[in-house]
Amino acid sequence: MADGEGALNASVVAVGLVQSGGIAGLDMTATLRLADLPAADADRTRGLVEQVLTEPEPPQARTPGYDGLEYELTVSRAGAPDHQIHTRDGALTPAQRALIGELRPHLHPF
Amino acid sequence: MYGLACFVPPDLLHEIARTARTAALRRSALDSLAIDAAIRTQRAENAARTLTVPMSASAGSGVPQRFIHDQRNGADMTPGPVVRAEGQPPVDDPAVNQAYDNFGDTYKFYWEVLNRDSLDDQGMPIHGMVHFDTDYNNAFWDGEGHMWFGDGDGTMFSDFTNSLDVIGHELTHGVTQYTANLAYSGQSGALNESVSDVFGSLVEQYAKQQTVDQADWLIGAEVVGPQLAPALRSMKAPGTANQYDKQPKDMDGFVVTNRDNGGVHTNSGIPNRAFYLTASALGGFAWEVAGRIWYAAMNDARLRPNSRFTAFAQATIRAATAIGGGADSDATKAVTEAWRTVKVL
Repeated sequence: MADGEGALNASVVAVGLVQSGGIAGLDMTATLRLADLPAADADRTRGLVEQVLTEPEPPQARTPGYDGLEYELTVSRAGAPDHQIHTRDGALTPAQRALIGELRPHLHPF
Repeated sequence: MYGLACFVPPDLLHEIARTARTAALRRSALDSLAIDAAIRTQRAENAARTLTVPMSASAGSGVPQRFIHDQRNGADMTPGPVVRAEGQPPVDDPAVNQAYDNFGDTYKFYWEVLNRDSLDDQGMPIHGMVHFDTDYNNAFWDGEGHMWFGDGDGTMFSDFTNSLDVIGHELTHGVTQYTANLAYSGQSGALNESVSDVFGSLVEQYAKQQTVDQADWLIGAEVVGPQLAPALRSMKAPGTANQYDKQPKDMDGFVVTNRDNGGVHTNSGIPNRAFYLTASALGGFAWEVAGRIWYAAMNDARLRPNSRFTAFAQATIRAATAIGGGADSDATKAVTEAWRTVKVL
């Protein structure tokens, strides 16, 4: 069972992304706090998070790949442990890809 | 029991496993079969490699087989339509033409310098997938004959088709698959990354006919935005390429991490610098001696997919001894001293 899987219905507070690897080998991070977003953006992000949390297990990556990006998504919910998802290029589900697309413009190196 | 794996034919071991009266004897036969299979696999892998660098022209054509596909900013990894194939004239899209031309320069380097006919030395077609995803800040090799290019977001990165050393780097991952086949994790992964940087840099140096002193020894200078300027990595001075560069220059700074497949893009700075130091000590054109030594090491039958820095260093020393003219040759001394300087030996 993944971290926090028992409390999926708790209210989503924030979603974070750590991106690593790629040809740059650069560690980058972004966090979106839903309370800080305009209502429409918060609703869209919350919807994507719910899709990511409830969709079926993604298939195996089609290839091992070299220099692909790796992603750690962290969903923070009120009164529940964080939920972490590890994935990478070639193994992304449509919902994961869309959620990462929301976070990507906010990435910064660390 | 282990000795049986080498001397007892597999069909006899199968028969023992099938008919043995005791569980212990059956287990012994099955263990021997497993070892026997592993040894035969290893022999087959070793037989497919050779320490010597082929110096005469192979039976290949010397003509690349390039196919550039337009992914139209989609994130689906199904190949898009071919927009330029081998021999066709330039199109209106600069990314397509840059990928095509830089694939050509990479093929030319491997063919003219190392007598290698494409990535598999059998004339393998090379597919470039341009405009992958939207604002995608990366380029990668998928292990199945395709290089994928993002356009970059225009801030952190720009169009990845614009960099010859990046394209040389990615296509060299394909060459590594067909030679040392270094596992993409930990030290072997860092070696895999390093040889991609080494030959990516050499592809660029060969295209520009630059000597060791004229080369910039930077990776990705053409694709970084102001935040990452001047480059992604420096082979000459690891850790100095940009404000976020964490590459160590020697084993004292080896980074232990579970990200990035165990820091493959970080710890590659150590073997990268060993190559630069070797090339610098030998002078002239880096591909002529240092490059051939590293290429021979990639083909060394004693190298394993999980080889670590020390094993690769020993492979380069064996190659330098063979190519450079003996253990006392300048090449062997330069290679040995380089690995000592980065504290691998």
